[in-house]
Amino acid sequence: MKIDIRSFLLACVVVSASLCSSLWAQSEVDRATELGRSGDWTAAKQALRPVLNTPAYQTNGRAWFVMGFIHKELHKSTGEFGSDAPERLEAITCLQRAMQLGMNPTDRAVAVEAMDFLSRSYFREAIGMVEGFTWGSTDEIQALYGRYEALEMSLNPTKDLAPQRSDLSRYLGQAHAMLLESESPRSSAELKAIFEAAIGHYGDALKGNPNDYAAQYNLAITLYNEGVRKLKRINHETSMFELMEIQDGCIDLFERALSPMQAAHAQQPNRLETLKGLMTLHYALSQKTASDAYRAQIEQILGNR
Amino acid sequence: MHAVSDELSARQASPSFSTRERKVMVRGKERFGSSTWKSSRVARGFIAALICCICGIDVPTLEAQSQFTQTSTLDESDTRSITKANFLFHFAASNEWPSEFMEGPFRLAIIGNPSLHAILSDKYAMKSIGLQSLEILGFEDVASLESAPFVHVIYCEESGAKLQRIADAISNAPVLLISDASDGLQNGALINFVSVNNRIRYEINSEEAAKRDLLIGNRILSWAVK
Repeated sequence: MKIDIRSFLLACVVVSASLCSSLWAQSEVDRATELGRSGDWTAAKQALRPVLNTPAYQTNGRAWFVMGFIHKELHKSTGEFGSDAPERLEAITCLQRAMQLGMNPTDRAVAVEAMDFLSRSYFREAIGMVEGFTWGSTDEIQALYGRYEALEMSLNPTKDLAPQRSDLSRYLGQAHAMLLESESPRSSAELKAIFEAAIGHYGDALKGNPNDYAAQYNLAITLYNEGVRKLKRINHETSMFELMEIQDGCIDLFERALSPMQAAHAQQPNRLETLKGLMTLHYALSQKTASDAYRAQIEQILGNR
Repeated sequence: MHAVSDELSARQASPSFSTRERKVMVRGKERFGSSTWKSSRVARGFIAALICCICGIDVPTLEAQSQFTQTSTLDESDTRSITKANFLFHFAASNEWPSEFMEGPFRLAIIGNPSLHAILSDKYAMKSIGLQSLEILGFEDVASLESAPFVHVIYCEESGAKLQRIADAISNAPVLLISDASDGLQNGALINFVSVNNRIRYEINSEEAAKRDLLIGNRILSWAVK
């Protein structure tokens, strides 16, 4: 068999180049890994990042995995937060790419754990922001939760996240309702917007989970308390016309509150807070007989204790 | 007047509970696992979720979040009394008494409804009716009113014969008697609160008011249901 020396030499060159490239690539990854192990994540990033998009690395799953891990550690060490925190976003992009490219089973398991950690970090931040809620932070909370949800779905596409989203909506409803209860001075337009946002979030929560007792009860309370607040704003300067108009508005809110309170009561018929809510609502609606009936139920429950 | 006062002090205008009942309700509330939205509770829930995360438990799940389950707090203000207080102030401010009664303090008496008295005192005690300073008086029963000086407005929630006896006792004086009873006007009240489409409205016996030299203002008349 006659071998074409030129073809043979060309093949040798190609194979050698490929081997060298692969070895060189592997050395960059190893160097970054070593730097990471020593805790110098910034240096590790500097070692690997510039070469990551070169042809040698573009299809190297392990390189993207290591880069993702480095970004994740940098996210942790810098204490950055927010839905657009760059290191976290980079970490996710790199890890997802690594998973697409393929890795050995050990790396894959670590990558999944890292993604899971990042996903939870979004969730924790969202909940933390709900806990210390301030007016106007809803978009960021929802963005954080959205990233959590997207990551969770990428890790487990069959997972049903609807109940969690429903819970988040309820928490947001409560957070808004708390602002209404607080004594911080706010314009009436802002208070109206906060109230409507609270009602909207409770509505979303109930769309996701119509049998959510807390969402039903809290929605009723938010509507009712808003009516009471309106009543309390009446003063000696309020005219008869305004008084009638305000009363109409309050009664409208009380009537709207009745339905979710009844729905909550239907779920837990012996729960005292709901019975008290119904007693109070009927009283506010001048429905004495109904109010007294709920009062009697409460007294019966209390008497049996 | 003594005779009509027997049960007045026992009546409650708002659906409130005794201290004992409240304590039991609080215990019940705890037992049912609900509480008001308190940051400490939220923080505990959050920490629990965090611990679960750290421990690698498959969270955040609903199980972890169930510790966040909260219920809001009902505003226990007496809404009917708030509304009535506003009406009473308007009744005092928009009607006219004979000139000899438009000097000195303007007295508004509430019988047997401490919640309404408290709201009126809180909102209107420092206000004036025309040139008269407004005095809000609260009485446990009708008997206590006998020893009081002249009052321009009396609000009580009695009905039937008991209300009629109060009306008879003040029949010769320009006192605006206001009730909240289905038979209020028939038994001597000049203004009676009624419920119309879940709202608090009022009806007026303007003829009887005129007999007592009380001039009901147009604004009050125009909003009356009859």
